[in-house]
Amino acid sequence: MAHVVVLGAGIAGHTAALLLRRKLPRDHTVTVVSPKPTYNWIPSNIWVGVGMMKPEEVTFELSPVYARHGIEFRQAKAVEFWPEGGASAQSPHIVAESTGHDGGQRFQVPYDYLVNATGPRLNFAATPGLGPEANSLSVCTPEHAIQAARSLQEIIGRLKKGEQLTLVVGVGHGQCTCEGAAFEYVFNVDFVLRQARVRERARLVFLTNEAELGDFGVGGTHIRRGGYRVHSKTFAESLYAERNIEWITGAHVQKVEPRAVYYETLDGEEHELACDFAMLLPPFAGQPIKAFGRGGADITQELFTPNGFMRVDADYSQKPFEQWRATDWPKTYQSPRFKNLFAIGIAFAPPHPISKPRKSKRGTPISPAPPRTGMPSAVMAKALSESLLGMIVYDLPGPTRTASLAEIGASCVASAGASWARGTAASMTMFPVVPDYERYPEFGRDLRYTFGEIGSAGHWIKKILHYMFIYKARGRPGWWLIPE
Amino acid sequence: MTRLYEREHFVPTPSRTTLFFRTFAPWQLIRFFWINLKMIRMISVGYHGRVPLRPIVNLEAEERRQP
Repeated sequence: MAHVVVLGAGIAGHTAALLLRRKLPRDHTVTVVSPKPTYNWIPSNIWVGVGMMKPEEVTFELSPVYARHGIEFRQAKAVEFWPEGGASAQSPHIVAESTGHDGGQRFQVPYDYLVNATGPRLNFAATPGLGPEANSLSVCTPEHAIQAARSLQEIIGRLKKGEQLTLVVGVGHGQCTCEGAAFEYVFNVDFVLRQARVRERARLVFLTNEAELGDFGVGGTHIRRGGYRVHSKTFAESLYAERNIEWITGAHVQKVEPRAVYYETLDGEEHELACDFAMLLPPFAGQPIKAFGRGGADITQELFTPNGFMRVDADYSQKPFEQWRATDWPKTYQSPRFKNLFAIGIAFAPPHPISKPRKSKRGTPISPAPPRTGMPSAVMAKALSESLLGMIVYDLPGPTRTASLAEIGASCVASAGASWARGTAASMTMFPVVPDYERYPEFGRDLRYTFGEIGSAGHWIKKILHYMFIYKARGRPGWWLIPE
Repeated sequence: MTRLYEREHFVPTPSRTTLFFRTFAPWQLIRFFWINLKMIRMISVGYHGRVPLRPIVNLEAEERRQP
């Protein structure tokens, strides 16, 4: 009998737990350890952040779902890994700290297999003044999104009174990821302002660390359109120009004050942007988990990178951009140190960025970190659940399934206004996520499976996917038939 | 209005016809099915069709590593 422990109940962790429970015979146990009692379908937080969706539409209680499926749930956060056991317990275990009613109590959870899907730590502290507790807003959690929606309503009220205001949307640090979420938010703000008939009084500015619009942390992509093979930069710039949204690229936010954002650009210049509303996404870091060997020696550096992401079967050797290869990216997400330890979703340490790394003339790194959320996270979870099934039930010596970002594609539907009749969204797919210039020498991707277009159809797809994925996450009948 | 010789001046922008078709329901209904088909095709090729069904580990190398 094997005991699988999954840390985190986000897209990766929750998908892995449900799939493992469905596939593993009942004499094996699955436990989820997650600090929050609710599941959050994060992609729809954008709509909560502009007041077009209620927070309860993007969240639900995890306990009833896990109880129905026979998954043990502990509301706690992992603080220590003991992969070789320790003095108090000889078998591998984690130490978790309760975040429920008995908050703060520490307890051990033994495991045979451990899946680290803890997601990101929102590192607002990386930029002075960044974050909902300081001078800017965020849509990373439902609570943050509610706060952003309230602030936006106040702004709309002031615009209706005739004030001219500046709204800044983007990323709050030079090494942020999730530029796609900022992209969605700025276009939804634009849509809401137009609906309120106050758009002409608002100056809308998009502030990003991407060197060019349309990079999205994956170096952008080429698609076939109108007889040409065109880079996503062209389409992104077209959309910003069409909606009269200004853009500032290659920017590292240095600090945020109540009515101003200070940033540095790739040319080394420092700027001040006065604003009345700032929604700036934070950079991500790994969860602060410590790891110990059997004798109590600190082995955190062996298991995790300095920014807290877990090392897996990737090539972490330092090499210049020109020598990056698709094979650098992990396939099985297994720890090289412990064969029963895995990390998926944002928790695994990428070998390097996907976009070309850049520094400002002053030496500040300004380039997007690689995105590994949404569909790729769920695909990793599915591959890992099948690998674990093989290792546990069929006694295979190692993982049997792979989900390298350099071998899988991704679909992304980026909302640009939420309305069945007048809303639009950009529907995009790319294959693979990480460009492979050895297989596809010209553009790094297979253009047969890489496309993008904008229209109401995209919005309909995004809205339908919202309900489908919530249904799937709730583990309703036939949930496994819905693809990742 | 596009600002002359500013950055936005050099960016391609959609024509009125393009903008109309972006929210013209009958056309978007066709696009809806077409986009779904393209996504399903990418998902099927990108995931299920490419995963190896044998263990990734090199069994001989693993055995050699055993003491």
